[in-house]
Amino acid sequence: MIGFLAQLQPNNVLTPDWWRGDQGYPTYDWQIMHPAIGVAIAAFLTLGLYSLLYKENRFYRFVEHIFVGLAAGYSIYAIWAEVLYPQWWKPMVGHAAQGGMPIEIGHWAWAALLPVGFLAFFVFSTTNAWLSRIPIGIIIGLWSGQQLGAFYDRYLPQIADTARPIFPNSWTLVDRNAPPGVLAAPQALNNLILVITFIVVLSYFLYSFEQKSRLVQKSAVAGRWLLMVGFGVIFGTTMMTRFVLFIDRAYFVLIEWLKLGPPN
Amino acid sequence: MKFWETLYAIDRRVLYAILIVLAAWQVLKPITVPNVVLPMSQSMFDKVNTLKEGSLVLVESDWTTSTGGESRGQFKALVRHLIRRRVKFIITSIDPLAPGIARIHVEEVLKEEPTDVARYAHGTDWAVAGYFPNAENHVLSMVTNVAKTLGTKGITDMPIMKGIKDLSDFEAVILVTGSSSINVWYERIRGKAPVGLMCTAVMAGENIPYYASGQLFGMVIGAKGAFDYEDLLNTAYPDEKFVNYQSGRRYMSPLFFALVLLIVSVIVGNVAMVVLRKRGVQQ
Repeated sequence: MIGFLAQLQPNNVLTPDWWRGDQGYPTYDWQIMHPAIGVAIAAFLTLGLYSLLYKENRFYRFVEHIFVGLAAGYSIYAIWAEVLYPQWWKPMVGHAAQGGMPIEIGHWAWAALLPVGFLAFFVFSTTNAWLSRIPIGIIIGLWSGQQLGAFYDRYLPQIADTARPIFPNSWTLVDRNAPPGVLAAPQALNNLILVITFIVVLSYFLYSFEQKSRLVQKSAVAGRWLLMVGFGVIFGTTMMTRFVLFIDRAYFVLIEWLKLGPPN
Repeated sequence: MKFWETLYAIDRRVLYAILIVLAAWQVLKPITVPNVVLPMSQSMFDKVNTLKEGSLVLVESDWTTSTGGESRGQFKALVRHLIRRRVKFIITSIDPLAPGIARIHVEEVLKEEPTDVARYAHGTDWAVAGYFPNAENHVLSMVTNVAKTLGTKGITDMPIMKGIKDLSDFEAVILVTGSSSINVWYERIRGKAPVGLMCTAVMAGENIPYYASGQLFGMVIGAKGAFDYEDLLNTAYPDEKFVNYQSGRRYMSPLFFALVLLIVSVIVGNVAMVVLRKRGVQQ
């Protein structure tokens, strides 16, 4: 209630058409209530989601179901309104000449896609589940055909980048404006670390034969440690993302809802 | 012994409570955190800063409220920069919720910018093309026939679409994303336009190698990246009429205290574990 009242600023009052968009182009018209009510509900649901931090509870479950239901419902609407209707339905049915627009003949061959797509729902059938593999097979076939080019474009520049010069020709510190061909000592050291890391981590994944050589064994152990460093970085950055998500929600509840401090 | 056992098994709810108190305190009374701009953030800024007035950029906005803490600051700073440079932009997305969210935030930026800068018309200077399902198909069709792909979204007749025949007509493709949609661009862009990435911190480790190999011209990572970009904007546009700082700087001090709590908790937990193990206590 405090948050709701805090939203009712003089420039934010209820008017008869407060729910209408005032833009000159199509909008999603998703804002169907006064902002103060919307913010209060959003804050209430935010608190519901974070109540899980204390323990599993019905309030959290209720909010979780609302969230999943809304996201799924909106996605279905968006897929129809933005994809299926303009790209499939309209070209399929065409339209009569009206309002200066010439007649457009419907391309009814597009209708053949509907039963193929519906075959996917046979995945729920115990006796005819094999039918669902037909649309899945088409999708996988199309996807597989593109993978050679995709691999080439994505990974070849990565592999090429591991071939780096490791002998410096300048003993200055790194200069971002250095002319091409100048390799400063710190950059050379950086390159050396990258090359060693690449080799020892790759040696860890030599599973095709038994690692009898002591050199390969020690390299694999070093590779495992360096992998752990990499996983540590991923863990740290994951925590940063989760913390910022929480901070953003705290900002929403404390500043945007309760107005306990100045905005940005 | 009891002391170390207590430290070893602190109730997670106690840590959550400390985190809530720290975050709330710093959200309400943030301290000033010094910043050193990362080279990859600088590269992104420099690229946008060299774009000519009237040139066109594709902004792939794949973020929603779930990563808003990081992506919102990045997105608004980027849009701010594009508008001040008078660079046109078209927004696409592979997330059904994202186009609406992007539109709201572009409009927010236009309201916050000075009136002489904010004369930016939808359809002429910027446009939201909307939602495209399936990242693979979207990027493939953008690379092979960008005019036809964007034409399915009803923006064909808009002035901003004039002269667009190929993806190479865009000066850059910049992704603001909280998902792995960037991978599809690595795989299918075929050098038609330089690609930049604004991503969440959790994606940094996976994507920095692409910046190092030159597949990305710049990278803005998480809330720190948003702060970097805001700092760079503030240096380039120091006039008080410009709003340069928002969530990037605002979230830095709560994040700083949260990370200190994390580091202290990890150290305390590990020290307690070592002490108990040395004393032969079953854990």
